[in-house]
Amino acid sequence: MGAPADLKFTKEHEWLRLTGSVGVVGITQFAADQLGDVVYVDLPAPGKEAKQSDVLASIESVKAVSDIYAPVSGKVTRVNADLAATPELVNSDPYGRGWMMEIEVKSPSDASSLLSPQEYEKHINSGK
Amino acid sequence: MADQGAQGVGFVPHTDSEMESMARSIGLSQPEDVFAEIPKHLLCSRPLLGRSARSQNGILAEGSALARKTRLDRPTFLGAGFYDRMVPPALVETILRRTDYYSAYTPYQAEASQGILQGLFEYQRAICALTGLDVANASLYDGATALAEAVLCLFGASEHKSGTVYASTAVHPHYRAVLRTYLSDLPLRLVEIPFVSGEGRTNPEMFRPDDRSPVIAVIAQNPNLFGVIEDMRSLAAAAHTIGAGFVHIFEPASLSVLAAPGEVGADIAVAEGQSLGLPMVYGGLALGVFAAREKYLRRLPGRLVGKTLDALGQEAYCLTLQTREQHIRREKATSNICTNHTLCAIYAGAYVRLLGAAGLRAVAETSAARMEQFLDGLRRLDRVAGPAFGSASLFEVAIRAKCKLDHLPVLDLHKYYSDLPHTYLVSFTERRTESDVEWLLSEIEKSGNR
Amino acid sequence: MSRLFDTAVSSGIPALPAHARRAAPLALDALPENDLVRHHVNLSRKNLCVDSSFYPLGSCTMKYSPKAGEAVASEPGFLQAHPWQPDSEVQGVLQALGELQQDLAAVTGMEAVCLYPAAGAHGELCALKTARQYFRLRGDTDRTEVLVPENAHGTNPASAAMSGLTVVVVKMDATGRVDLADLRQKVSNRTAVLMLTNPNTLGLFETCIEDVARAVHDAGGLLYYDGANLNAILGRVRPGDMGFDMVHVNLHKTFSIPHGGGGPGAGPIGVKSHLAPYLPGPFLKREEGAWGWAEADRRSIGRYHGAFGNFLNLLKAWVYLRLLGDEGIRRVSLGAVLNANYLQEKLRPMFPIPYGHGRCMHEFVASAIALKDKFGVSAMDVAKRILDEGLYAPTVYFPLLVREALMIEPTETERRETLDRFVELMQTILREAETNPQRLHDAPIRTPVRRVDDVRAARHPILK
Repeated sequence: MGAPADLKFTKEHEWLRLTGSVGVVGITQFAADQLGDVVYVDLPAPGKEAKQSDVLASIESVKAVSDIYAPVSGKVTRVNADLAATPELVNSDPYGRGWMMEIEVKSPSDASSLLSPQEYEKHINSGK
Repeated sequence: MADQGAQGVGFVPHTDSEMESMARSIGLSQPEDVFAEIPKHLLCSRPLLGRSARSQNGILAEGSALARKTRLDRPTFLGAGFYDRMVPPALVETILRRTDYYSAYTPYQAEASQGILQGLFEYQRAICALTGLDVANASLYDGATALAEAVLCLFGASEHKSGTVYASTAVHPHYRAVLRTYLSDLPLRLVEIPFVSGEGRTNPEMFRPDDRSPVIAVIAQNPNLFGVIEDMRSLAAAAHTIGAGFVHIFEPASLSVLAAPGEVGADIAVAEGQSLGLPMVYGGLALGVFAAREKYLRRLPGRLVGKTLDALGQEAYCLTLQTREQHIRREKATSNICTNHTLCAIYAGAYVRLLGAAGLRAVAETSAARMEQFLDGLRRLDRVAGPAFGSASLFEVAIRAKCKLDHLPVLDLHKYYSDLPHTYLVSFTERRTESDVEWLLSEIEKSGNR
Repeated sequence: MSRLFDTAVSSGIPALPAHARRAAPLALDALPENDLVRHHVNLSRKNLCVDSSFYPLGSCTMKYSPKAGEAVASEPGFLQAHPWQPDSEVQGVLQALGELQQDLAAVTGMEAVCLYPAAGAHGELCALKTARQYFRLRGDTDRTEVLVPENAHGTNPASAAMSGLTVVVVKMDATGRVDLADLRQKVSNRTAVLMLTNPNTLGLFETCIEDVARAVHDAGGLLYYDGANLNAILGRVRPGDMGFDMVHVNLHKTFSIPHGGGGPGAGPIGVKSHLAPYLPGPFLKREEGAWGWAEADRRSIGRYHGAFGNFLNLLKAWVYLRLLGDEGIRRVSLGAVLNANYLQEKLRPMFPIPYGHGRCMHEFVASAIALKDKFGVSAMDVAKRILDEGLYAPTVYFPLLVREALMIEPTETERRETLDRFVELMQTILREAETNPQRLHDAPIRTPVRRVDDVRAARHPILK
């Protein structure tokens, strides 16, 4: 699978790349594979505030919809505009060009409750 | 048909002995054993309908006898949403009565349903052209429920948790009633804005901010129930000024002449599509037309057909953006609608293609010419009746009479509007002839002489 | 265009006020009548339909629609009836509606019937609104929850949401039926309605239905019967006798009216007498031999359709029930359930049927999971391969409880030979999965188009 080492994960398959108080959020390769061909990503308007675990966005395949939860509390500052025309980036490059949004993180300590790459790997192998 | 061991009863092709043989082949001693898991006391053996099967010959005669009770011996001038338009035989034969269309199911298996899908796509395109709006869905049930869905669509797209909906009282009373029913369990309040007395039109200045909750939608109809042409641009502007979406109820045949919803600034346009050449059938072959601006695409209720490619790169069609719908999003769906009015939609799309812009204009012009003939004639009868309102209309007009006219095939508006006694709506279509109009005038004259 | 009607020119149209006139001319060319006819005849041939093919589409009851219904529906007295004609001028229309109401009440065990809902989902919403009004006028306003089993059709939770109610999901037990323990935990004085099909979406009869009803009624809630699967028990078991308070019936399923390529259908509802005053109005009444509409009082939820429902379809159902009579309706359910069990047993050696330990009712749910695991062939591949033989496919991927689901409903109007041929086809497909799985991935290859790219359609919507 090879989840990048610099990321933190939720059990709901979001990833977070935290640099200082700026967090970038996306979904994992595992989640993208499960969903199949992504056809649409419904992203919030910049400025939207969310608490940890609030629904922040949703992602759709032809036959399913999944909610994306905020991995940490914060305010959305930027979203990946490329996903409007090329949602398939979520499938082809989930940790890179398939990123979804940038969050100004309220308290970076929220991230301590998230999973490490090893813990996430274990979580998906346990079949949940 | 019923004497070969019950073969054919209930359109079941098996004989009794075939059923027994099938049952034995799967380890049952008799066919009825397939019901063995049902608790015995729930099974009822008594006859429920209290009658036995009728023959086809018998039922055709019985149906015919009932149909003959409908009064059809004089031309009708009833309208108000359902119109006696010319029903093109070509469309009846190739769509309504064509089994390859009507006995198919919802086109979920796209490869085996390309005809239905393309027919719906062409309908969506026709509705977008008529309305001047960006997207049309593949149909809803009827005009009144389409209005309710339009309001729910605007509400869902808004950020508000509750709100107010304004509707002019010149909107069809059944539409307002159905909308009230739909809103009754939701945090939405319907406020009716009275039309301008004596003019029969809606005053844009009446749409003001509501001090109780944000206004979600403003609803007006054009031509309105009285046939009066509204100033839709000003009404749309008034809606937008107070932050509301504007829902434009239209009459499809009029759009060859009247400003399109997209031109006046409507956010959503809905209509009863029966007047696109469908038979009236007591209002029971209705078509809910629904079109909207692009920004509501992902909030649209009902099915949508999209054009795409197949595995060989050939043009193909399929249902699309289905994540809006109940079978995927369940309680978060944009609507609960599943079955729509596909057959009527394909028909309506074909009607628009058969007539084209010129034909649709001929429908409007001819209907309007009959109304003019009627109004000319009515001037002679001003001691009996005259137009109820001074405002312009197209092919439907309200008249005020000095006597009762409810024995004539016109719509008594008094039962909907207590302040409009002896007021009748008279509707004209391209099917009415000059002599039909002369007949109506003479009947009105006779009523005045009584 | 050849002249459809005698045209006239209106002098009034040029005088329309400027704000009222269309600015951009309508850009629609007319197609000559013969070309339009050919276009639609050719389009219509690109569909499989019940009159061309076996259509074992689970949960949709694709039975033969008797043509007598079409013939009666073509009578001028029905086609040309205007909905605002006075009652005295449409007595035949009203009589058919009145008699259909009586018939539907009789076969569902209900006491009042409303014919306005235009489809099953429209009926669901109508019944939930009726239930809410009933509770509201009793002052019982805290009932805001609808219980829905996890394998319910999507319309159930969607209708609940549209009537302002919250959905509470009830689990299924290991046999594929409502988990009574879970139900008892979730039912409360907040429960407005439990929505249920019986037989359920796995094709199984809910044998403990009376316990389910008792649990809901004891908590003061109402039971709603989703009539999607009524065909299995027509003339034998009545929802009303099982304890249901409300029901909708899909006339385009059990009562044989054609599906119209996806509609129009019709979804009348029936209720027990304690709910009757809350139904939409106006009500159909018969006084001194004359039929007529009577306004409902303030207890009614109000109008529910722009006219009086999908009359054309209601009429076809009226014809169907007269053609059937009492012996016919019982033969329907017997044929439907016997055909389904016959097919289930013949397919059992080929496909696992996860909840098929016993007898099914009118349909069953097989699983293509073994094909998926062994050969990478999905339920969708199987479905597409079936289309190549000129047959419609079973419902796939529903209910979600069964992985790689193939939901099969043969209906009663198919002969044994047709079922046997379907079994042979499934055997062929199984062999192909093993020897030539690519054939299944490529399917369909004989349909008017090859496999349609629905991902492309959704990513880049072209809608007009």
